Amino acid sequence: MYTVKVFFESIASTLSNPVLLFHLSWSTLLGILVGTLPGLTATLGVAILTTLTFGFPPEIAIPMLLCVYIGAIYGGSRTAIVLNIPGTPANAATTVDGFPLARSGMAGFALNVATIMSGIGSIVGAIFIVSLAPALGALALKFGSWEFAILAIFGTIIAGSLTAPKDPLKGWIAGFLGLMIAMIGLDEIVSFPRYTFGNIQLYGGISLLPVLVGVYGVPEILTSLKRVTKAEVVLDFSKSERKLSYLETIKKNALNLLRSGIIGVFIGVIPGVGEDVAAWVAYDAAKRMSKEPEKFGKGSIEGLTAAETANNACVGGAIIPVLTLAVPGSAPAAVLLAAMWIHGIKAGPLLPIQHPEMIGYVAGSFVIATILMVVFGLLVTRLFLKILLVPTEILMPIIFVLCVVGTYVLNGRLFDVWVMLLFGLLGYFMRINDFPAAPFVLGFILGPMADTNIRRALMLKNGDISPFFTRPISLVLIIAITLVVLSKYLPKKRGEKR
Amino acid sequence: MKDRISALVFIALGIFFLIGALRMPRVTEYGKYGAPGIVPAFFSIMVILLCFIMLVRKQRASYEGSSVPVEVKRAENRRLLLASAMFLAYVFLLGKINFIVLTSIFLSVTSMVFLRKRFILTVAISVAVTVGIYYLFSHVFLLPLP
Repeated sequence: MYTVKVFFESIASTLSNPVLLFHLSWSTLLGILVGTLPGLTATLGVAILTTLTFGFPPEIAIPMLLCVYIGAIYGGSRTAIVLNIPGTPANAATTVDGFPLARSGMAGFALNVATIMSGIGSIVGAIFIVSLAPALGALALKFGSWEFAILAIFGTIIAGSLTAPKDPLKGWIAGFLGLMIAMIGLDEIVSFPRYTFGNIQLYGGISLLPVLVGVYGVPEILTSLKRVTKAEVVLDFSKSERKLSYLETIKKNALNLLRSGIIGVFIGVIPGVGEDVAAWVAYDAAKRMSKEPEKFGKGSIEGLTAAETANNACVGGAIIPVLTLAVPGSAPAAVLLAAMWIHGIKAGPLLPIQHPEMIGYVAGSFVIATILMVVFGLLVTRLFLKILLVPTEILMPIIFVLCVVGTYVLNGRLFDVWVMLLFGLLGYFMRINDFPAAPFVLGFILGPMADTNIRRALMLKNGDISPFFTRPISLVLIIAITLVVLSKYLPKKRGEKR
Repeated sequence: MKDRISALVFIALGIFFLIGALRMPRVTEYGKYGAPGIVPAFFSIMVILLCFIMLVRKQRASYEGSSVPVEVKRAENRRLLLASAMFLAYVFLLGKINFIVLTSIFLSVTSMVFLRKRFILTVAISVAVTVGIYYLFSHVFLLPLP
């Protein structure tokens, strides 16, 4: 109840604070811009803004980061519709029906439908933050070292499975690589320097931000710059939008909206599995349930609705485990988690005790970000699309400089820039070899949590591992890991093979 | 083939981490279960094991690359190497040359090399963007620049 009260209070206080509204407005616009530009992901947008908001108090910085996150996930739909290239990976499913709609002269309608559906998806996400996060927070208080240790492994494995559905083995390898590399630096129990080789810079471990910017930013920049062929831009607004009713579209898609929103939220809650997976799963569900499945892929409004509702609802879902378990539900949520640490907010099971207002405040900010996103989306969308006319060759080096500067200002040391570059090359190597980045990053984040809790669990019971199998939550997680792994390798029934 | 190469690379990395873990102290003031090498050893063994499975499994057919003409692929690789070299040079020179000078040159040269047209406009944009970034970080957000 307290969370609901804070939720409404935060909306009211934000709306009456012009300075905060100004910061949130430009953050949302930045988010939409980042999302619109192919190659710039929401993760990178949140990472760059994290460095810019160092000096801001957390009650301004955190809502700003939410704005850029929500704006970027939405902004990617612009490019997906007019360029057939998802602005962010979250909008890959949007291209399937968005681009055919644009080609048929309905670019304006498709863009606006995507805006409205993204807004509804975000609101669904906010509702779930308010309702689900306190419950999950209460459950998380029952977690001991055993549960946290297994949760870290569970998160990495499930992220590996879902982000590399064609070859989950690569997803798991990426996840364990992340866990392994996270071991660099002083360990948290006996302060032993691991893999530091006497280098004082490595004693504190590798910072998350250079890794994230490297793994997500550099491969995108390199891929965009090396591309010789250019994409086709469709800015055909020939069919009048007035003939098509948005309200009618919402009514027709009410069930689809609800289903896609719920799918988005629950996929978001799963550690490391981001908006791209949510959009595809919702799209697939919409196609299966549709009365007109033949229209999917040829410009179906239902398909566009499912993808755009789910990816924005997923943002809300991804934030829930950040707040309650300190486990990010997606890559941009991981940066958000790091930003919260930077601002002195220790997310996790103790958050509702240390900062009881935080869940309601985040949900309230989420609603404001959504309102701004819809308003700017409907008003300035076409203006933003002009940015697509700027050549990649000019844009990408600028983005690289922003990545370098953003990484440097974190601690004011060039070492972090080299780390960013090194992880950028690793990220590129992983990308060309089809290893997903998400489980790697999640493993890197969860590594210290796994390390400390595995050893603490062993120390508490003098090496006895049976509590891992006898404690109910731990057992459920172990069974889930086993099922996830087995489901990928058990022989499928005839006809189920794709 | 691609999978085998990446499996071998990651196995080598796993072995490196495993050796490091095995050389860490086995007993600490918290007993043997507080040893710092336990978890890194576990993770590196998992990496080695999973990569070994990838190495010995039936190789999957590679679909990519077949539709891309050799000349395009060669041009792409050239652009990739060029971009990587320029990025490395920029990071290497950071802190050694004034930020505004270095970044203006980097942006101008990179854009010119890849775009190959509108040189004056490119230089103007590069200088303007550099000054913009400089003022945004050091004067608006009061953050240090290299």
